[in-house]
Amino acid sequence: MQLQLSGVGFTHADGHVALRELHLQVAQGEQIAIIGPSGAGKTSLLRLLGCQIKPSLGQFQLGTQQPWQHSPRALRALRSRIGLIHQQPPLPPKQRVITAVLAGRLGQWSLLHSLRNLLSPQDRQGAETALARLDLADKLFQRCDQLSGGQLQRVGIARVLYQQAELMLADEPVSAMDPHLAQHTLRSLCAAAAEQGSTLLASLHTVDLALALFPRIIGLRDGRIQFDLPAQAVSPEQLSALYANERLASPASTALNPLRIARC
Amino acid sequence: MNTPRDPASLPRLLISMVALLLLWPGLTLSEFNPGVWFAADNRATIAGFLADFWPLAHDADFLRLVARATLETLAMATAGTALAFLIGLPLALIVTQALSRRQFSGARTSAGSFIRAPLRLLLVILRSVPEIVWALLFVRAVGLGPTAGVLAIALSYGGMLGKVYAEIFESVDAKPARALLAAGSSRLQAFGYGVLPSAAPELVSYSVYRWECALRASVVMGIVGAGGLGQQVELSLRLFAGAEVASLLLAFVLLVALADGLSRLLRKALLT
Repeated sequence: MQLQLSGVGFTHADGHVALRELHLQVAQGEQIAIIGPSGAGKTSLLRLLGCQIKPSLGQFQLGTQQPWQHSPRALRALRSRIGLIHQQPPLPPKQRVITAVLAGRLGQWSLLHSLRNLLSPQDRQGAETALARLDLADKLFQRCDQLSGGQLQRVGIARVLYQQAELMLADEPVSAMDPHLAQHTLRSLCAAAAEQGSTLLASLHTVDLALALFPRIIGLRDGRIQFDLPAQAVSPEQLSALYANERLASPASTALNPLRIARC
Repeated sequence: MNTPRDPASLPRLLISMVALLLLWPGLTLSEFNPGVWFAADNRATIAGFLADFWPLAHDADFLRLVARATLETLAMATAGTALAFLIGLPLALIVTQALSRRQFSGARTSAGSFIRAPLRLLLVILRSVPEIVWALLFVRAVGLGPTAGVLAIALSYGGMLGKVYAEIFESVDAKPARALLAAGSSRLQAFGYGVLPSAAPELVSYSVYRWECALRASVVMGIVGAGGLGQQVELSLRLFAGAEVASLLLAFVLLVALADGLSRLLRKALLT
């Protein structure tokens, strides 16, 4: 699925500006890492691309259409082709892993089929295949509350793999895993996306992983795109500028920039 | 030595006096008079009645009757609760805010509240009329017997289950359901995969508790003619057949104890 942002901005209900004037073009099947300091708007950008929040400004095109001009029904159909991987996978603790993974295709299933599947999981093979890619096939019949944080994140990824989403959006998908496992898991995710021909955008806080595994890097800071470059072209200076903390680096500037108190 | 006086003692004394003053008219208004206990003829009547309690009535015919009435009560409570579930669950699904579209940033519709408000009122009406009143109404409508009791339980408990189910749905973590909606599932699907897994233990536990309540209520309703143990108790009371009353009460106590144990076991198994 290709997508295009022109002049897109998003302002939270409390007036906090999360994204400003974004211009972005993503082709079908591209794999992009989004990096940037915390609070840069990475999650907001992913939620916006996933049609969960409506841009306050500008034009957002997904495929060939503008999602927010759709009827609710068409918007739902569109959402069933988008998979969002959460940093903390929202899975009911008492649900079994197999059901949690199979829930990925709810958007494609009839109500009757989903109810039957709730009573007795229908597509065991499918769930097992998705989990096996992430080395979790042995957890098929365990309950989600028996898994560790990293395992849960992988169940969340398996759900989106099973969904066969055409647009995969991952919000810090490997934050609870050790570096080795994180790399392995990201590799599997990228490979699966490439096989399915899905477009993949992932926000990451480990810059090394982003540079090593993704061909295109977007640096986001203060809701603005700081740079949008092939991985080889990202320079150390750009990275340190992206993560530079004005307040920590030069205490003098805090006087000019009074601390903005975050509203909860 | 001069210990300071407890500053709370005076207000406490005053509150007790006021409470007594307020309670006294209540006692006189309700014609509460412990003296009647000691009037000779009353004492003789109750003593004779209680003396009849032992030995329990245990002839074969009567025991068959008790067994039948017990089964009837059990069936009445179970059928009534099952029907209440069928009334309560769909109403809860419509009324609950947990699946409200407004919770999710999609279509902003206020049509939901137009449908919810009257159904909420329906739930209030269903549960605010006590089941005994429903039973009296249905005894007039469908005649003496357990049918009236089943309908009474179904309506009043349907109202309670609907309200409590809706609240249970709202109390569980909404994130799983929201994530499913964001991936294009319908609201009922999101309910089944996002809300139900977390809500199920509490739903079953509350339903079992209600079934236990229905069991007790069905005895009371029997007294107004809705069948089961209650109706037999009422008949025997009218005939001053103390032995029969005692047997029936014993059967009832055993039944409630059984239900209590069963529901405790079920809930323990579910909530761990």
